[in-house]
Amino acid sequence: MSPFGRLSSRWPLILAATFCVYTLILLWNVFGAQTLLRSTTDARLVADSQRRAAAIGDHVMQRRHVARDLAEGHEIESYLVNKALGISQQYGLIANLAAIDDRFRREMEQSLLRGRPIYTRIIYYDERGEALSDSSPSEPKVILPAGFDKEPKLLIDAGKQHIVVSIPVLHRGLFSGVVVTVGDLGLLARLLISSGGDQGREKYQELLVASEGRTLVAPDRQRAPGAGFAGALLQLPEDSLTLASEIPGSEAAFARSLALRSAVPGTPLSLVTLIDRDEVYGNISSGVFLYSLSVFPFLLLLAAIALERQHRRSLRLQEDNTALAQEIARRKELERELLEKSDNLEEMAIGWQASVLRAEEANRAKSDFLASMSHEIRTPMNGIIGMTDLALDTELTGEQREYLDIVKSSAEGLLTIINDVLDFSKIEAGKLSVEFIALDPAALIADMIKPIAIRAEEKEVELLTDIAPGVPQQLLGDPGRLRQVLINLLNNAVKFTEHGEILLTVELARSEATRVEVHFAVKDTGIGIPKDKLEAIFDAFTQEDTSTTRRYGGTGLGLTISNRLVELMGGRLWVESELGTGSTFHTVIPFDLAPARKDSGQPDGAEHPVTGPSPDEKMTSLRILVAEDNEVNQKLIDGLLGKLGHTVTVVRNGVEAVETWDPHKYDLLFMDMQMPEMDGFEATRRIRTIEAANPQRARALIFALSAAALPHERQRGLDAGVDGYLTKPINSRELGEVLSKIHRETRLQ
Amino acid sequence: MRFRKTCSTVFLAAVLFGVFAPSWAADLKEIQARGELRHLGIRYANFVTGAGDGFDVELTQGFAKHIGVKYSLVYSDFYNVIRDLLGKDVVRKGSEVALEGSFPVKGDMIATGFTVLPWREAVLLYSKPTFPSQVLLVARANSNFTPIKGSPDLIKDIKETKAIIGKNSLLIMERTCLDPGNYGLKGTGIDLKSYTRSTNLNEMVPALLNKEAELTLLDVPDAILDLKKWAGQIKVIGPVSEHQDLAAAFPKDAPELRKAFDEYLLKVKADGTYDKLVDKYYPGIRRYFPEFFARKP
Repeated sequence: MSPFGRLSSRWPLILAATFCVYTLILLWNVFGAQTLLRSTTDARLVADSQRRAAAIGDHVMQRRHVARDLAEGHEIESYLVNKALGISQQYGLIANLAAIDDRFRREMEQSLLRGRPIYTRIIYYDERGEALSDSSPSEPKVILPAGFDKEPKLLIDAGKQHIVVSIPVLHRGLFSGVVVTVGDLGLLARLLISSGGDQGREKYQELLVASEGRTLVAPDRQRAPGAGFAGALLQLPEDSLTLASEIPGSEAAFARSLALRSAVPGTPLSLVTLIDRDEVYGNISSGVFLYSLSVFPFLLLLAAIALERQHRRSLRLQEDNTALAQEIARRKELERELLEKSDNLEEMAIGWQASVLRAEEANRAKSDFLASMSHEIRTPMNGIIGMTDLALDTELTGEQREYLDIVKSSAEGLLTIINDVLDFSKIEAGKLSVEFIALDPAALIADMIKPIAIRAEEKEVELLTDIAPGVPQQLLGDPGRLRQVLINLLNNAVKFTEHGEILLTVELARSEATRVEVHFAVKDTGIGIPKDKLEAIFDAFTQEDTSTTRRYGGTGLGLTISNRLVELMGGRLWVESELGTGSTFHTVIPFDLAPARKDSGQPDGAEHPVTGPSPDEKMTSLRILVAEDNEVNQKLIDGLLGKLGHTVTVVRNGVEAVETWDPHKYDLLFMDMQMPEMDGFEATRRIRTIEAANPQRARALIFALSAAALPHERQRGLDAGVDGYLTKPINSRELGEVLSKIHRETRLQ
Repeated sequence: MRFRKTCSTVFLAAVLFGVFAPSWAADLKEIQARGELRHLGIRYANFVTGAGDGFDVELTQGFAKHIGVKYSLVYSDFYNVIRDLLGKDVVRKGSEVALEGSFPVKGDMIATGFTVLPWREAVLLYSKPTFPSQVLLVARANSNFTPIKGSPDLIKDIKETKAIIGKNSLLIMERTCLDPGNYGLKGTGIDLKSYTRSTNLNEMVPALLNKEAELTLLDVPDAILDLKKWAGQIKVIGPVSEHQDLAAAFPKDAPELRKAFDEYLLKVKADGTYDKLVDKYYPGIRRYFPEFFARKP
């Protein structure tokens, strides 16, 4: 393409550039003219201000001339001459004074400014300061500045709005008094300076400001600037225009004004002009406006350049279009392949999803199995242990009693093994959780150590406890799990110690404001553990060796469960051991500090043994309704309660419990929570609902009696409205303590 | 016969004129009937300046307007002014005053800074005072006479002033307010030198400066003007009289005219016209006689 052809294709750009240059030239010319006009306006304002200041100065100077004429006039000269002759004032000088009076009077009458008198008062003070002639004798004496007896003085009395001129009178070279003229400053304001404004906003305001910054004269003093602003105006450079808004202390009425100060020649005064900027410059455009206008040609040029680039880009795009079409075809092919693969992946994902669902279903089934195993195993175990207890309380032969003791011991061992297996299963399934309720370590240890101490005593092993003084009595943690861990460690110690002693020590490992770590150590003098086995004893189903299992029994799950429970509580468990000397099992567990109780009793929720009836306390018979579906359990609890002297009525499910319960007929309701037709949770809720609808009806005392021992199951029962929660297998001693407590509370009520 | 009758008529008229002419001074009704008030004035200070104006000239012009007649100024002098008013000459014999002779009556009232003197009151009716005055003793500035210091006791000051005169020459003007007889200066050994070249009191100071005498009497209205005019050349020694009143004078047989003048004076003092005249012709006089200008008319 020829150069001309390339240029012709860019005609919008060339046209825009030409227009830009043309506009800039025009703006430059306008800017120059505006600048010149503005400077001319400024110069005119300054000259005008100087001219008015000079006029005021001339006016003041004229006052001096008049005062000088009076001081040097023949009236005062005659007086002084005659006075020098010794003429008495009474018979001669008084005539001269009268002539001075007359001269002053005529001066006041004839000295006019646009028809208004310039002077308000003329005085002739003699050399002692006494007024010989005073046009206003009733007025107070005029205070003159220092040096008035030597040279003429000009005094601006801002308070009285006076302008005072004094000229010393000299007679034969001696100071012979002073002539003082007093004029009204307001006259200057009214006649020599001016103002113009509209509706409160000054467009034009002239002020005379004295050296101390006080506004002296303004045509309209009500609308004049305040003293602070006037003082700032006095600091303005002479004969230079300044924006009033840039002056410190500027007032809103003059925010858009220009300020100009000119000194009044021969006086300490300054003439300050405040004039509305718009009035001054009118249609003169501001520099900013012109600069702003100059931007538009450039914008237009940029737009043209952008348009040109856009045009060129479209050309390039057109060229690339063919290649793109090919690329699109290739990518469509790829996309089709991707879609096929995507379908395959979706099918795989659906398969995986089904697998996950099956896995989750299996996991749920396992959990349900665990829960039902826990319930289903405990229920017969409840029957075995409970019935054995009942049988042992009957009259038996020695042989029978020995057999039943073995049955009970075997059942309890079996229950322990079952509990261990269930606990381990729960731990593995992640179903085990820990509580955070108040506990007292010392009370807990005192409660749980008794049965262990009995077994140790049977082996002639001494069991000792040492609780350090600093261990807090009120902690937040899981007392059940802590008890389980300590029992396990102590049982192990008893199991593997043939002689010597077992020492349980408790001490504070670490203490913070709201948190502590408590160190429990169980030290025995047992067989000890080889060092190469120390690592493995916390693994599941591991004992030192199989011979140990054979010799001492046990599942080998105890330490594994304890280790997991300690980890669940946030602590750690380890062992130190020397073969043949003994072992020490350490566990450090963190606890939160429970809030201090105001009363001296146990912490809230702290587990503590329920005390049985005192020897002199005789329990009366309670009327107890038992809801239990299992016949063995029905017979067991009937036997246990009957043995304790209570009257028992048994129903088989929740529906019957709700129908049968009558607060007038029964004192207490034991509710199994897992029952056909209606479980214990629903039955409890219904009874509470009936009570809420009938406030007069006595509140039922309901205790859950359930094989479901998990914490969330206990909480579920409490939420349903039970007053207490007992777990199976039923412990006759625990049952007796609960009934004693109920008996005391009902008796107190 | 006719000639004789005519001659008789002329003679009778002449006789009648000779008999009645001296008493032609007229009262208010006659003046109003005539339609003209003749004002007798003497060129003296600013009372009658001689230029057709003056304090008393304007005052009397106002009076003429007040009574509804035309005004005319008739110049006279201090020697003849009473004669021009009454048609008779005034002769003083000690304390006695007599009217003698017969002269033409030239005016209806005197108003010319005319001092109220006892002997004048014997033959004239005075109006209420129109102006205050006092007579001072004046010397050349370069003379050895020392002005008195002045005190609240005017009588004492007068006595002290008169003592200064001693036997020195004193320029006076008889039959005027500067007549030494008015102030007990006759027969005391003073070398009295009567100024006779004119009856114009304004010429007393020039005559003093011309060394025609060592001292002169001067009334306050003149002194006010001369102390400015001749400042440094004359000096006031002290008073020779108490305060005097100046007033308009009327013939004894013109009480209605005087009454009308007093009423007019009251009026112009009330409406401010009087004050304007005072300020115009004697601007400093209020300070000299504050009591006079402060008192109620």
